[in-house]
Amino acid sequence: MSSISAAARTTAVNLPTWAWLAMVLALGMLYAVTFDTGFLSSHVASSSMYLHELFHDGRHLFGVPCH
Amino acid sequence: MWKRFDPARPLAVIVGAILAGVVAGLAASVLLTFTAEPVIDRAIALEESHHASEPNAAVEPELVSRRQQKGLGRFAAYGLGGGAYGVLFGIAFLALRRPPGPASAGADGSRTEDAFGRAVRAGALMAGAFTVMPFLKYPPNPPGVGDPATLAERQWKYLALIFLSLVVLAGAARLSGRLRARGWLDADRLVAVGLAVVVPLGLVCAALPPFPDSVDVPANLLWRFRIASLGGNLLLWTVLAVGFGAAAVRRERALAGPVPTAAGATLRPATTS
Repeated sequence: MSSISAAARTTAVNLPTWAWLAMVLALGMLYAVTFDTGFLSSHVASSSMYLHELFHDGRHLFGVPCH
Repeated sequence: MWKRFDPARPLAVIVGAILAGVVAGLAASVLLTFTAEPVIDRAIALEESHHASEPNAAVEPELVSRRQQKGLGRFAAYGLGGGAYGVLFGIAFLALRRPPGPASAGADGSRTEDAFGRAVRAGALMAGAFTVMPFLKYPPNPPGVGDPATLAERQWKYLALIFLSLVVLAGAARLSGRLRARGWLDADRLVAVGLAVVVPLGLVCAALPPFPDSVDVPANLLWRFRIASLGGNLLLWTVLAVGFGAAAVRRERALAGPVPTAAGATLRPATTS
Protein backbone atom coordinates (compact mmCIF):
# COMPACT_ATOMS: atom_id res chain seq x y z
CA MET A 1 0.00 0.00 0.00
CA SER A 2 2.72 2.43 0.98
CA SER A 3 4.70 1.67 -2.20
CA ILE A 4 1.62 2.38 -4.32
CA SER A 5 1.06 5.76 -2.74
CA ALA A 6 4.78 6.53 -3.00
CA ALA A 7 4.72 5.68 -6.70
CA ALA A 8 1.65 7.85 -7.17
CA ARG A 9 3.41 10.77 -5.53
CA THR A 10 6.35 10.60 -7.94
CA THR A 11 3.93 11.44 -10.76
CA ALA A 12 2.43 14.52 -9.11
CA VAL A 13 4.25 17.83 -9.10
CA ASN A 14 3.31 19.44 -5.81
CA LEU A 15 3.83 23.14 -6.25
CA PRO A 16 2.13 25.98 -4.41
CA THR A 17 0.03 28.30 -6.58
CA TRP A 18 2.39 31.24 -6.21
CA ALA A 19 5.21 29.16 -7.73
CA TRP A 20 3.32 29.13 -11.03
CA LEU A 21 2.93 32.90 -10.73
CA ALA A 22 6.68 33.19 -10.12
CA MET A 23 7.25 31.08 -13.24
CA VAL A 24 5.10 33.44 -15.32
CA LEU A 25 7.04 36.43 -13.96
CA ALA A 26 10.34 34.70 -14.80
CA LEU A 27 9.18 33.99 -18.34
CA GLY A 28 8.13 37.64 -18.65
CA MET A 29 11.61 38.68 -17.52
CA LEU A 30 13.20 36.34 -20.07
CA TYR A 31 10.93 37.84 -22.74
CA ALA A 32 12.06 41.36 -21.82
CA VAL A 33 15.73 40.41 -21.92
CA THR A 34 15.80 38.07 -24.91
CA PHE A 35 12.75 38.55 -27.14
CA ASP A 36 11.50 42.12 -26.88
CA THR A 37 11.98 44.16 -30.03
CA GLY A 38 10.29 47.33 -28.88
CA PHE A 39 6.92 46.42 -27.37
CA LEU A 40 7.98 46.62 -23.71
CA SER A 41 10.56 49.35 -23.88
CA SER A 42 8.17 51.69 -25.68
CA HIS A 43 6.40 51.86 -22.31
CA VAL A 44 9.42 52.34 -20.05
CA ALA A 45 11.96 54.26 -22.11
CA SER A 46 11.96 57.19 -24.47
CA SER A 47 12.92 55.06 -27.44
CA SER A 48 11.11 51.83 -28.24
CA MET A 49 14.35 50.00 -28.98
CA TYR A 50 16.24 51.17 -25.89
CA LEU A 51 15.98 47.91 -23.91
CA HIS A 52 16.55 45.85 -27.06
CA GLU A 53 19.79 47.72 -27.73
CA LEU A 54 20.87 47.72 -24.07
CA PHE A 55 20.51 43.93 -23.81
CA HIS A 56 21.86 43.36 -27.32
CA ASP A 57 25.15 41.64 -26.44
CA GLY A 58 23.44 39.54 -23.79
CA ARG A 59 20.71 38.45 -26.19
CA HIS A 60 23.21 37.30 -28.82
CA LEU A 61 25.27 35.49 -26.17
CA PHE A 62 22.25 33.74 -24.67
CA GLY A 63 21.87 32.41 -28.22
CA VAL A 64 18.42 33.85 -28.90
CA PRO A 65 17.61 34.75 -32.52
CA CYS A 66 18.10 38.44 -33.28
CA HIS A 67 18.13 40.61 -36.35
CA MET B 1 18.90 34.74 6.13
CA TRP B 2 21.14 31.66 5.89
CA LYS B 3 19.31 30.13 8.87
CA ARG B 4 15.96 30.52 7.13
CA PHE B 5 17.11 28.63 4.03
CA ASP B 6 15.40 25.23 4.15
CA PRO B 7 15.60 23.19 0.93
CA ALA B 8 12.31 21.50 1.84
CA ARG B 9 10.35 24.78 1.71
CA PRO B 10 9.28 25.96 -1.77
CA LEU B 11 9.52 29.67 -0.96
CA ALA B 12 13.05 29.32 0.40
CA VAL B 13 14.04 27.25 -2.65
CA ILE B 14 12.75 29.81 -5.16
CA VAL B 15 14.29 32.80 -3.34
CA GLY B 16 17.62 30.96 -2.94
CA ALA B 17 17.58 29.89 -6.58
CA ILE B 18 16.95 33.47 -7.74
CA LEU B 19 19.95 34.67 -5.69
CA ALA B 20 22.11 31.84 -7.03
CA GLY B 21 20.92 32.62 -10.57
CA VAL B 22 21.80 36.32 -10.34
CA VAL B 23 25.27 35.50 -8.96
CA ALA B 24 25.76 32.84 -11.66
CA GLY B 25 24.69 35.26 -14.40
CA LEU B 26 27.10 37.93 -13.19
CA ALA B 27 29.92 35.35 -12.98
CA ALA B 28 29.21 34.24 -16.55
CA SER B 29 29.17 37.88 -17.63
CA VAL B 30 32.65 38.41 -16.15
CA LEU B 31 33.92 35.47 -18.21
CA LEU B 32 32.22 36.78 -21.35
CA THR B 33 33.93 40.16 -20.93
CA PHE B 34 37.18 38.39 -21.83
CA THR B 35 36.00 35.60 -24.14
CA ALA B 36 33.12 37.09 -26.13
CA GLU B 37 33.45 40.86 -26.29
CA PRO B 38 36.59 40.99 -28.46
CA VAL B 39 34.77 38.69 -30.92
CA ILE B 40 31.61 40.83 -30.87
CA ASP B 41 33.69 43.96 -31.48
CA ARG B 42 35.23 42.32 -34.55
CA ALA B 43 31.81 41.17 -35.81
CA ILE B 44 30.40 44.71 -35.48
CA ALA B 45 33.45 46.23 -37.21
CA LEU B 46 32.94 43.75 -40.06
CA GLU B 47 29.23 44.59 -40.27
CA GLU B 48 29.99 48.32 -40.38
CA SER B 49 32.59 47.89 -43.11
CA HIS B 50 29.95 46.05 -45.18
CA HIS B 51 27.49 48.88 -44.57
CA ALA B 52 30.09 51.48 -45.52
CA SER B 53 30.61 49.83 -48.91
CA GLU B 54 26.91 50.18 -49.73
CA PRO B 55 26.36 53.72 -51.12
CA ASN B 56 22.74 54.16 -49.99
CA ALA B 57 22.94 52.27 -46.70
CA ALA B 58 20.91 53.84 -43.93
CA VAL B 59 22.96 54.67 -40.85
CA GLU B 60 21.42 53.14 -37.74
CA PRO B 61 21.16 55.67 -34.91
CA GLU B 62 23.12 54.55 -31.84
CA LEU B 63 20.69 54.46 -28.92
CA VAL B 64 23.08 52.76 -26.54
CA SER B 65 26.82 53.18 -26.81
CA ARG B 66 29.01 50.11 -27.33
CA ARG B 67 30.62 50.79 -23.95
CA GLN B 68 27.20 50.58 -22.27
CA GLN B 69 26.17 47.52 -24.28
CA LYS B 70 29.24 45.50 -23.31
CA GLY B 71 29.32 46.77 -19.73
CA LEU B 72 26.10 47.66 -17.96
CA GLY B 73 23.90 46.18 -20.68
CA ARG B 74 25.39 42.72 -20.74
CA PHE B 75 25.74 42.51 -16.96
CA ALA B 76 22.09 43.58 -16.60
CA ALA B 77 20.99 41.06 -19.23
CA TYR B 78 22.91 38.22 -17.57
CA GLY B 79 21.93 39.24 -14.03
CA LEU B 80 18.22 39.47 -14.87
CA GLY B 81 18.32 36.44 -17.18
CA GLY B 82 20.18 34.46 -14.50
CA GLY B 83 17.53 35.39 -11.91
CA ALA B 84 14.76 34.27 -14.28
CA TYR B 85 16.64 31.03 -15.01
CA GLY B 86 16.92 30.65 -11.22
CA VAL B 87 13.13 30.65 -10.82
CA LEU B 88 12.77 27.94 -13.49
CA PHE B 89 15.65 25.97 -11.94
CA GLY B 90 14.01 26.23 -8.50
CA ILE B 91 10.74 24.88 -9.87
CA ALA B 92 12.62 21.98 -11.51
CA PHE B 93 14.42 21.35 -8.21
CA LEU B 94 11.07 21.16 -6.39
CA ALA B 95 9.47 19.02 -9.07
CA LEU B 96 12.33 16.48 -9.01
CA ARG B 97 11.73 15.76 -5.32
CA ARG B 98 11.42 12.04 -4.66
CA PRO B 99 8.76 10.78 -2.29
CA PRO B 100 9.99 9.79 1.17
CA GLY B 101 10.11 6.11 1.97
CA PRO B 102 11.49 2.97 0.34
CA ALA B 103 11.29 4.38 -3.20
CA SER B 104 13.95 6.97 -2.44
CA ALA B 105 16.36 4.41 -1.00
CA GLY B 106 19.05 2.85 -3.17
CA ALA B 107 19.52 -0.89 -3.78
CA ASP B 108 21.63 -1.21 -0.62
CA GLY B 109 18.96 0.48 1.47
CA SER B 110 20.82 3.76 1.89
CA ARG B 111 19.21 7.05 1.01
CA THR B 112 20.96 7.96 -2.22
CA GLU B 113 19.27 11.26 -2.83
CA ASP B 114 20.38 14.51 -1.34
CA ALA B 115 19.76 18.11 -2.26
CA PHE B 116 23.07 18.38 -4.12
CA GLY B 117 22.31 15.55 -6.53
CA ARG B 118 18.82 16.91 -7.10
CA ALA B 119 20.21 20.40 -7.83
CA VAL B 120 22.70 18.96 -10.33
CA ARG B 121 19.92 17.01 -12.08
CA ALA B 122 17.69 20.09 -12.18
CA GLY B 123 20.57 22.16 -13.56
CA ALA B 124 21.40 19.56 -16.20
CA LEU B 125 17.76 19.43 -17.28
CA MET B 126 17.50 23.21 -17.59
CA ALA B 127 20.89 23.59 -19.30
CA GLY B 128 19.90 20.88 -21.76
CA ALA B 129 16.65 22.58 -22.73
CA PHE B 130 17.79 26.22 -22.65
CA THR B 131 21.43 26.03 -23.78
CA VAL B 132 22.61 22.69 -25.19
CA MET B 133 19.68 21.83 -27.48
CA PRO B 134 19.45 25.35 -28.99
CA PHE B 135 23.23 25.26 -29.45
CA LEU B 136 23.01 21.99 -31.41
CA LYS B 137 20.03 22.89 -33.58
CA TYR B 138 20.06 26.69 -33.83
CA PRO B 139 23.58 27.73 -32.74
CA PRO B 140 24.05 31.35 -31.61
CA ASN B 141 25.24 33.95 -34.11
CA PRO B 142 27.18 37.17 -33.52
CA PRO B 143 25.62 40.59 -34.23
CA GLY B 144 25.40 41.30 -37.94
CA VAL B 145 23.96 37.89 -38.79
CA GLY B 146 20.23 37.45 -39.32
CA ASP B 147 17.56 39.05 -41.47
CA PRO B 148 15.05 41.16 -39.48
CA ALA B 149 12.33 39.97 -41.87
CA THR B 150 12.70 36.37 -40.65
CA LEU B 151 13.05 37.22 -36.95
CA ALA B 152 9.53 36.14 -35.90
CA GLU B 153 9.88 32.85 -37.75
CA ARG B 154 13.24 32.14 -36.11
CA GLN B 155 11.89 33.07 -32.67
CA TRP B 156 8.99 30.63 -32.98
CA LYS B 157 11.25 27.79 -34.07
CA TYR B 158 13.64 28.58 -31.22
CA LEU B 159 10.81 28.60 -28.65
CA ALA B 160 9.34 25.39 -30.07
CA LEU B 161 12.72 23.67 -29.69
CA ILE B 162 13.08 24.75 -26.04
CA PHE B 163 9.49 23.76 -25.24
CA LEU B 164 9.80 20.31 -26.87
CA SER B 165 13.17 19.74 -25.17
CA LEU B 166 11.63 20.58 -21.80
CA VAL B 167 8.76 18.16 -22.44
CA VAL B 168 11.16 15.35 -23.40
CA LEU B 169 13.52 15.95 -20.46
CA ALA B 170 10.68 16.26 -17.93
CA GLY B 171 9.15 13.05 -19.33
CA ALA B 172 12.49 11.26 -18.96
CA ALA B 173 12.78 12.46 -15.35
CA ARG B 174 9.30 11.14 -14.61
CA LEU B 175 10.13 7.81 -16.29
CA SER B 176 13.26 7.58 -14.14
CA GLY B 177 11.17 8.03 -10.99
CA ARG B 178 8.70 5.34 -12.03
CA LEU B 179 11.41 2.82 -12.92
CA ARG B 180 13.13 3.52 -9.61
CA ALA B 181 9.84 2.98 -7.76
CA ARG B 182 9.47 -0.37 -9.55
CA GLY B 183 12.89 -1.41 -8.28
CA TRP B 184 14.84 -1.38 -11.55
CA LEU B 185 18.61 -1.74 -11.27
CA ASP B 186 20.35 1.62 -11.66
CA ALA B 187 22.31 0.38 -14.70
CA ASP B 188 19.15 -0.71 -16.53
CA ARG B 189 17.31 2.43 -15.49
CA LEU B 190 20.08 4.72 -16.78
CA VAL B 191 20.10 2.99 -20.17
CA ALA B 192 16.31 3.29 -20.46
CA VAL B 193 16.31 6.94 -19.38
CA GLY B 194 19.24 7.70 -21.69
CA LEU B 195 17.32 6.29 -24.64
CA ALA B 196 14.21 8.21 -23.55
CA VAL B 197 16.31 11.40 -23.71
CA VAL B 198 18.45 10.89 -26.82
CA VAL B 199 15.93 9.33 -29.24
CA PRO B 200 13.09 11.87 -28.84
CA LEU B 201 15.53 14.81 -28.80
CA GLY B 202 17.07 13.53 -32.03
CA LEU B 203 13.61 13.28 -33.58
CA VAL B 204 12.81 16.84 -32.43
CA CYS B 205 16.02 18.11 -34.05
CA ALA B 206 15.24 16.26 -37.27
CA ALA B 207 11.61 17.40 -37.38
CA LEU B 208 12.13 21.12 -36.79
CA PRO B 209 13.02 23.09 -39.96
CA PRO B 210 16.35 24.97 -40.07
CA PHE B 211 16.70 28.76 -39.91
CA PRO B 212 16.28 30.34 -43.36
CA ASP B 213 19.12 32.90 -43.09
CA SER B 214 22.56 32.51 -44.58
CA VAL B 215 25.45 33.18 -42.21
CA ASP B 216 27.95 35.41 -44.01
CA VAL B 217 30.73 35.89 -41.47
CA PRO B 218 34.14 34.16 -41.44
CA ALA B 219 33.91 30.67 -39.91
CA ASN B 220 36.69 31.45 -37.46
CA LEU B 221 34.86 34.48 -36.06
CA LEU B 222 31.54 32.64 -36.04
CA TRP B 223 32.82 29.68 -34.06
CA ARG B 224 34.82 31.78 -31.61
CA PHE B 225 31.57 33.55 -30.83
CA ARG B 226 29.59 30.30 -30.54
CA ILE B 227 32.13 28.64 -28.25
CA ALA B 228 32.36 31.78 -26.08
CA SER B 229 28.56 31.87 -25.84
CA LEU B 230 28.34 28.17 -24.95
CA GLY B 231 31.08 28.57 -22.34
CA GLY B 232 29.36 31.51 -20.68
CA ASN B 233 25.96 29.82 -20.58
CA LEU B 234 27.32 26.50 -19.30
CA LEU B 235 29.22 28.43 -16.62
CA LEU B 236 25.95 30.12 -15.65
CA TRP B 237 24.12 26.80 -15.22
CA THR B 238 27.08 25.20 -13.42
CA VAL B 239 27.48 28.02 -10.89
CA LEU B 240 23.71 28.12 -10.38
CA ALA B 241 23.24 24.36 -9.86
CA VAL B 242 26.46 23.64 -7.95
CA GLY B 243 26.24 26.80 -5.83
CA PHE B 244 22.61 26.23 -4.94
CA GLY B 245 23.17 22.51 -4.41
CA ALA B 246 26.19 23.02 -2.14
CA ALA B 247 24.23 25.49 0.01
CA ALA B 248 21.10 23.29 0.04
CA VAL B 249 22.90 20.10 1.07
CA ARG B 250 24.61 21.93 3.95
CA ARG B 251 21.31 23.32 5.21
CA GLU B 252 19.58 19.96 4.71
CA ARG B 253 22.16 18.23 6.91
CA ALA B 254 22.17 20.99 9.50
CA LEU B 255 18.38 20.82 9.77
CA ALA B 256 18.33 17.00 9.91
CA GLY B 257 20.92 16.97 12.70
CA PRO B 258 23.61 14.34 13.19
CA VAL B 259 22.52 10.76 12.51
CA PRO B 260 23.57 8.42 15.36
CA THR B 261 24.94 5.00 14.43
CA ALA B 262 25.10 1.79 16.41
CA ALA B 263 28.70 2.49 17.33
CA GLY B 264 27.72 5.82 18.80
CA ALA B 265 29.67 7.77 16.20
CA THR B 266 27.87 10.21 13.94
CA LEU B 267 27.33 9.30 10.33
CA ARG B 268 26.80 11.86 7.67
CA PRO B 269 24.23 11.07 5.00
CA ALA B 270 25.70 9.59 1.84
CA THR B 271 26.86 12.16 -0.68
CA THR B 272 26.65 9.94 -3.75
CA SER B 273 23.74 10.51 -6.05
